[in-house]
Amino acid sequence: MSQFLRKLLSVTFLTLSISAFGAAAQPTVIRIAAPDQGAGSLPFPGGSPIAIVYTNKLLEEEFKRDGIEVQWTLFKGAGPAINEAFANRQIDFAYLGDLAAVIGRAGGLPTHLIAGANRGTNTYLAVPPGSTIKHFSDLKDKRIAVFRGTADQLAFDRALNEHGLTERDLRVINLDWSSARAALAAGQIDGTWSGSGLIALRTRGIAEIALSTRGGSLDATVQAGLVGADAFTAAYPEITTRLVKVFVKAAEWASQENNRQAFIDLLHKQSNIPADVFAGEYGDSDLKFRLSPRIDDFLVGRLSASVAEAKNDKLIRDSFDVNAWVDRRYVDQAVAQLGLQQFWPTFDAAGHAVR
Amino acid sequence: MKPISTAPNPFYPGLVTAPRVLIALVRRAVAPLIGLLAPLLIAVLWYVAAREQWMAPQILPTPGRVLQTAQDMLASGELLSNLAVSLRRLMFGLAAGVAAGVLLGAAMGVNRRVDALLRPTFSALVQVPTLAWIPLFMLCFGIGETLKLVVIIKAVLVPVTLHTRTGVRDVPPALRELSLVCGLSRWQCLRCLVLPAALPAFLIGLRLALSQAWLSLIVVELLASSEGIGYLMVNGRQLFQLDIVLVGIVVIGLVGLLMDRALQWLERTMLRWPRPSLAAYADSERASSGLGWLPPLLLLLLLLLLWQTASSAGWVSCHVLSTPLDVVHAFIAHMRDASLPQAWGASLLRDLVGLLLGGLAGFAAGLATGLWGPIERLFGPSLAALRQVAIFAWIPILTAWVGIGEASKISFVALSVFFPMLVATHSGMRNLSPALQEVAAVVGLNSRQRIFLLLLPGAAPAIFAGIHVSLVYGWIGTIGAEYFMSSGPGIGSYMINAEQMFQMEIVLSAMLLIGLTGVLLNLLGTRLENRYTAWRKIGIQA
Repeated sequence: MSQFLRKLLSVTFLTLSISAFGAAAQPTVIRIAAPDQGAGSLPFPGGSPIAIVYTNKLLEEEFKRDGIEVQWTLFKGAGPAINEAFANRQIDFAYLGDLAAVIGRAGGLPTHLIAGANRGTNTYLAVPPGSTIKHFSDLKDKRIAVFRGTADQLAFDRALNEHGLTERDLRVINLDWSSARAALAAGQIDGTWSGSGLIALRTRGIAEIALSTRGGSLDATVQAGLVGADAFTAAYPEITTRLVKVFVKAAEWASQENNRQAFIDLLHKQSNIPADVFAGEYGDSDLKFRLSPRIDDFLVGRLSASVAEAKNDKLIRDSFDVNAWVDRRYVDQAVAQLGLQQFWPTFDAAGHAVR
Repeated sequence: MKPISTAPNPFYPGLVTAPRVLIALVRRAVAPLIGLLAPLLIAVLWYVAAREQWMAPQILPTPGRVLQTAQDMLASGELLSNLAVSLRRLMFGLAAGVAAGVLLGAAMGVNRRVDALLRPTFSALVQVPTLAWIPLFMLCFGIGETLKLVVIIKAVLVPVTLHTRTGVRDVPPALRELSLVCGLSRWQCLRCLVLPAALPAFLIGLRLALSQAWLSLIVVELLASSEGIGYLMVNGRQLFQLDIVLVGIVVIGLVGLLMDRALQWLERTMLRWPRPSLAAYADSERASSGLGWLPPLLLLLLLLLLWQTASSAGWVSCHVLSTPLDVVHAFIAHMRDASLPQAWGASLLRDLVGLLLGGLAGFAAGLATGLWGPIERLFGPSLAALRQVAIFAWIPILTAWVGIGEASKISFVALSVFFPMLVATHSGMRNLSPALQEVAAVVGLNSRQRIFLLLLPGAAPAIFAGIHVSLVYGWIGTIGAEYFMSSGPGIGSYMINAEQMFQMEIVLSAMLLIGLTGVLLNLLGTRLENRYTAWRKIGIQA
């Protein structure tokens, strides 16, 4: 009897180890999450090269020959849901804004930031038409809505600081995005601070954009990146590099000035958000800066600042070292394999190109 | 808390002998402790699950961690001050909502014409999720405390109105006739007849209202608020500090349980008269025949006219409230390009599956706790505590169990239906007349017969009122699931997307569709109720 049991056990063990070995070579599925920022009936993972990858099914194509399935999950109001999905081991990669990624890491998620996605993203102040707010100094004692605990809040605080103000100089009201829009239309607030989606309100005649971070210091802007779960990247480094390579290729296409219009058209078509929202957001900024996937001093510097500010505002309990969190291997390899080392300059902490 | 068959008859207490008194005393002392067994079990399970890391520590923090957080929040005064803010909002909202619900429900219960007139509009309006109302509410009530109260009132209004209506409607006609014969004045009739007869149903509504008020705190405290226990929980999830969410769950559970028990005590002390055996009621046969559909239609038209004038005459900003004509245009356009029907179909399917699963589970649980005293004593308190906690707070744990796909949305809907159904079924069974129980005992019905011949028919009005309430919450849960979880097709996502661009005519046309669906589902509920309680109409010449 025990002989039989031992045999059974060893067979089971053998089968298990074979399947484990098989799994180590190649996953059966790659699970990616992103926020859903669409305004129409199609899902839209945000106004960055990731939208190209998603819309044109570039990952599906890349991994089809290996029989690896690619599973996208898009979340409304993404940050918390994506961090929970990481903790529940339901996703392998996610495209995340800086604060959400920082909050997840500070909460102890076993993840690394493996590539940049888009950076220098602006935030805006929408005011009712005919508002007297023209400068930051006009904001004193005004009722301004911000969604606390999101990247908007950090960006708002930075922009205020830059102009010698703090939240205490005005009456800040905590409202989620759709409530803030409703309150603005109902004339209950003097303005709301949020992302480029507010530009769409101008098109509808509900609001004007009075102030923004555009033209100011890059310090007040928002960064985003690709975050990978250690369990996946450690087990399948080659697959991870190939995945990052697909993103890098898309970023290369979008970074070229003569593709600007085509890129904006693609974003508009997939999101159902007016094209002038994207055109306004990217403005005349250097696309090679905005869309560089490289993890350079600028990205690391801004993320470190976000960690410090989040700690200071009690948004996270423990701070951490961003240098140990970023993992440049995959994106560096991808850039090298594609021969794009010279394509994107690296940017220093202030956002100036250094070759 | 008395088991249905073995309790000493409260009307003949003298028959109890000395040793039985002793046993009863011991039982009494032990009974409340049994209720602690289930929470204890949950705590042990939680401890083991956290220690063995069945779930990630970020999703399910250890009890020790949560206790530590609770202590920190207590020490800093954060917990109590936020609880005080929430309780204040809860009390005011509850008081106003219950008052309005009683008036409305009583009017609908007393007068069939009023009922026929108001109910279609009522069920259409209340089914539209709060999310969609907010721009309009903000326009009317600002963004201060009034707005928060209005949101709570809206949540409270539904169960109170529907259950009061049932209670008032079901006053036994024989008693009504008797009161006429005796020449009771209107006031006497109200005080001696309607009030006592309607009280049990009203109290069910009140208990449901209490949990709804707690649930709506989550929505309310996101609206221009940085305080309150709901805010703490929303913010805790936002910042991925789920230990704070769990502290919120425990606090709301405990306070909610206390309130629920207080209501039950109220129920026991107030309902001292023998409960009438369930009576037939006069059906609205006459109202439904002929031109019965005309008045409610006229009311709807009147509302539409008011709306059209309000927006075209510029009483309200047309950005917030598009004109009905614009809405109809948008409605037709999006019905044509199939985007609206597709979204609607996806949501409806989700809603129906969730309703079915949650409704059946709630019904079964209500049946079990209503039938067997031990089960009630074991799980009753825990269920009453859990009921108060918004499903929102369970999302991380829910998705850890059932994944991030469609299943999590359906379980969200099912959960939002489960508790109203549980309460309605359970209370319906417990409010049965002891006289009927005695008859059942005398006739010697076996337990199967008792369930099907006595308990279920007897509890039917309460169960159907529960179904009505569930229909409303099923829709609200569906929209909530689409709002809080992974995106996909659905009318909630559709509205959120349109709201992002502030295309109010699209939002309103989706509201229109949800409202219409609400009316249809409600009609279905009424038909079902009439059909399965048809026996109650026998012998009544209304």
